[in-house]
Amino acid sequence: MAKKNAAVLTGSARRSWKTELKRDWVVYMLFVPIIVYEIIFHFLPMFGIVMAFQDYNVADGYFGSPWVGLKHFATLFGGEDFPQAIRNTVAIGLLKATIGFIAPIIFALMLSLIENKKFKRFCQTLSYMPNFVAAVIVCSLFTQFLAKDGPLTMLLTNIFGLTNQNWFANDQIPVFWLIYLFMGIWQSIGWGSIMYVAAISQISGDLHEAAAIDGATRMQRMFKITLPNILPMIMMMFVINIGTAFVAGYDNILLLYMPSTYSVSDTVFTYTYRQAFGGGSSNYSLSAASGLFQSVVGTVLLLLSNALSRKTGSSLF
Amino acid sequence: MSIRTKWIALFVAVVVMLVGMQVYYGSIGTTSSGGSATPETTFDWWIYSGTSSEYYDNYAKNPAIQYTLRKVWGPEEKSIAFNFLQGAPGSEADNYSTMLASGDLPDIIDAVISDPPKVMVTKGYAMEITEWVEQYMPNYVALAHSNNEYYFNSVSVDDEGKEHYYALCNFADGYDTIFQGYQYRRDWIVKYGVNSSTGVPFTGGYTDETDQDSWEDNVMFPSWYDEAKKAKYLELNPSWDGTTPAYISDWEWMFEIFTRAQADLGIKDKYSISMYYPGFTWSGGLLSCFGGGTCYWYQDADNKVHFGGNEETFKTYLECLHNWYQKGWLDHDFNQRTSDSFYQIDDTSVRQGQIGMWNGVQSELGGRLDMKDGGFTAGIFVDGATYPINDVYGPESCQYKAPDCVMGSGLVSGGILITPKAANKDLAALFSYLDYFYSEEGALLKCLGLSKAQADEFTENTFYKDNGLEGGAWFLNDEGKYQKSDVLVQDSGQLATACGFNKAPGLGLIKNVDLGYAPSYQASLDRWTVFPNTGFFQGTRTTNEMSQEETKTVADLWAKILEYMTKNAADFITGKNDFEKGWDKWVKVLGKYKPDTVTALFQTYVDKYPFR
Repeated sequence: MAKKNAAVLTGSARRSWKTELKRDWVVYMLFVPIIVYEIIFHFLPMFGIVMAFQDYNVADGYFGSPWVGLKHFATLFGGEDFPQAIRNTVAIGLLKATIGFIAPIIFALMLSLIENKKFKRFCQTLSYMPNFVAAVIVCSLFTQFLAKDGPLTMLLTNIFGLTNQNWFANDQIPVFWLIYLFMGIWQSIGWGSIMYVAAISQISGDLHEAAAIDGATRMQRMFKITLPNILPMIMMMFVINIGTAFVAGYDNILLLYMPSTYSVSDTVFTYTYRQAFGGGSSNYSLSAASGLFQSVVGTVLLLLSNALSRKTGSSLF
Repeated sequence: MSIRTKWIALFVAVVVMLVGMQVYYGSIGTTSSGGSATPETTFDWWIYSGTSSEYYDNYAKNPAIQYTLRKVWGPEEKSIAFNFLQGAPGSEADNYSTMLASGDLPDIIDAVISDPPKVMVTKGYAMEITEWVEQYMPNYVALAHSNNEYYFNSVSVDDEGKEHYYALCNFADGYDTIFQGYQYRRDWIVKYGVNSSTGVPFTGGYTDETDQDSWEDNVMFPSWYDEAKKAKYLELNPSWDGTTPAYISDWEWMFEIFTRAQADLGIKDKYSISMYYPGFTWSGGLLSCFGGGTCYWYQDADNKVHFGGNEETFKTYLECLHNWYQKGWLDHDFNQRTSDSFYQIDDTSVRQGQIGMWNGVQSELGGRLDMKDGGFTAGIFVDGATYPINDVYGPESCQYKAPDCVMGSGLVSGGILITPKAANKDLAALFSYLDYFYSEEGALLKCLGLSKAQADEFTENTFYKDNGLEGGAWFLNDEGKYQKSDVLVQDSGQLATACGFNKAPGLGLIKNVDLGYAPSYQASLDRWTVFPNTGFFQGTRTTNEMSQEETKTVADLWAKILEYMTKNAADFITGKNDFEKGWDKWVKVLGKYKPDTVTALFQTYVDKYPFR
């Protein structure tokens, strides 16, 4: 009987799916270009991972280049400066995943407390603008600001009594890390807060009203109403961000670092860049091996963070 | 708007778009309509960079190209045309890689950034052109066999003694000037210096305030008055007359003057000279002045290959810079200027006239940096300096030796490769055409452009007339030299380059060409090439003969060594690392990379394929 019911149920589901496709085929057709795009530009190129296991050269291509197994991984991990690069990558990634992650949330919460709508919109627009400035420009600006005679340096020296110096040439921990972090926050805080602002705007005003009537303060309403309501969004963004925090966004470092600060600024990305392209010829295999390593790390972190967020009831998948 | 109207509007828009595309794309790569020759074969030619779009947006519109393509070429008198392909500025290398990886090759490739010609042929990207060269390029063959340097760098000889041609190279009839070199503020020397022998202050200045090269003075450098040093230097550079710095001691004498000048002018927190951020340039340059060689692999006068990274020359050079750093002569922030090219370090301070000496470019010579704003550049005169000979630092083996690893032009460079795609086209016509540029007439068209007679004849093209060149791009002067037109000498843009077919492989005219430079300007340029490069063989025939695997082995090892040097050399200069203990560690670490394996490899190629 149970089997019969199951068969009936299954049959119904199959018919339902077909019916759905027949009925809404236009909607599904809209999805086809995306699928094609993903397959061509994201799935098919995965075959290129084989480069990491070959001594790849352009002339011989994928099928003609000799297979070398894990040689490039050994070269990468066996490099003298690789541990240092890993340390810096983890440190910067942790800072991005914690302080860098929280900053847009705090900003969104602060925006939500602004009652004057015009001023709120003005603040939001102003905060979005740095996101559209090219990385090269941002790096150039900060290089100027934090140069020996830069305005920020003058501020730090005259107000806080810090040493007058080129801050980007400082190889003390955690100076470079913090500068890089705050530069990233400055550029992305507005854009990153959009999702949270949208989530906060979805919270029913009745809840706040009722709480206000019951005598709750602004801070109490923030912690008891706003934050719990946007927690699912926070967890989802956390899962997305954690996967990329350790592997993405390090191209700016190429513009900011210098040999005297390699000890604090060199990451796996920049280390690989120098090893692969520093000698005058291009070592695509080494850079592919490094890219694969970083992708694996990112994937593991994504899965772990998703498992963690599942415990709060709001996972990505 | 009704649906019918919308459809009509859409149709018209599509037609207009198609017509516009045809007009635009149809015009790319075509030769002028001048002359009676109709192109029978069109060759696709990939160039690394074209002329500034200030004059034409497509290289095919170059007047010298159009002039030559009016004629017929080859034994069957055929006409040809070119379709020039070029990547977007800034992405030339990517464009090149994509081209190779996709196999979508043009017929001709500019060899500027390619692998060595033999490697390109082995990989199948280019074809061997021996039979075509020997049959249709008598000028080229004659030139290639006329001197050793031409021959070594353009002809490959196999183990059976047979000659092979893999590329068409550029041959220069003399060593060309280079675009950059050390230069200094000579006006500060005049104003703040005194003759070291007599104690009398120097005098000098512009003889014509409107002429930025009309400088005269009575400056004599201290080493001129030391008979022993004078004699030694004249052996190395017989044309020296004491009016320009010769030794490191002369440079240090200048640095003291620059320091006085900066103090007097109120220039604070500046320095006498800066250095490329790693503290060295691995092709040699100033480093080579401390006994010869460089920190890369190089060959000595006996053609023996050395790895210079752990040698006394490099150590002595670093000691010198450390001393300059301690005395405040060397820029204390040099190793932070990582985004500056080696020939434009701290360009802002240089252009503001705050620096005494720097490695700069031709356009900064003379009074060209004077901004006429009453600032620090007022009255500036910049003079070029020869690489100095070390007479101060290190052991005897590092003193009184001319640099042998310097950036300089060779007699053979660049050129083009013919790809297999062109195999079925009219190569007889193509090679006959290209051989023309190895004749004097063709070389003039390549290097300078059309003469007056040619410009008058070429009435279909108005480029010369439109740009004030009715008298042609050059003329024969009273000394029998080909002199550049005054219009081109005065032009500060790309007009001179736009006039000639400089992308063509051919004979580069150096010796018999008067570029119209002022004597002081020409003298500065000549000083930058006093000492020829005899030691640095990277990028010459010697390394061009290496296989791809060997090239990769060298590149991979050098990436690691350069990484170590870049991180640590500056510490010796700044004093963060001391020489007594640090140098031994430096040598030990470099030894771990086993550079001797590559030394042995290079030696086999230096023995078999000398480049000079």
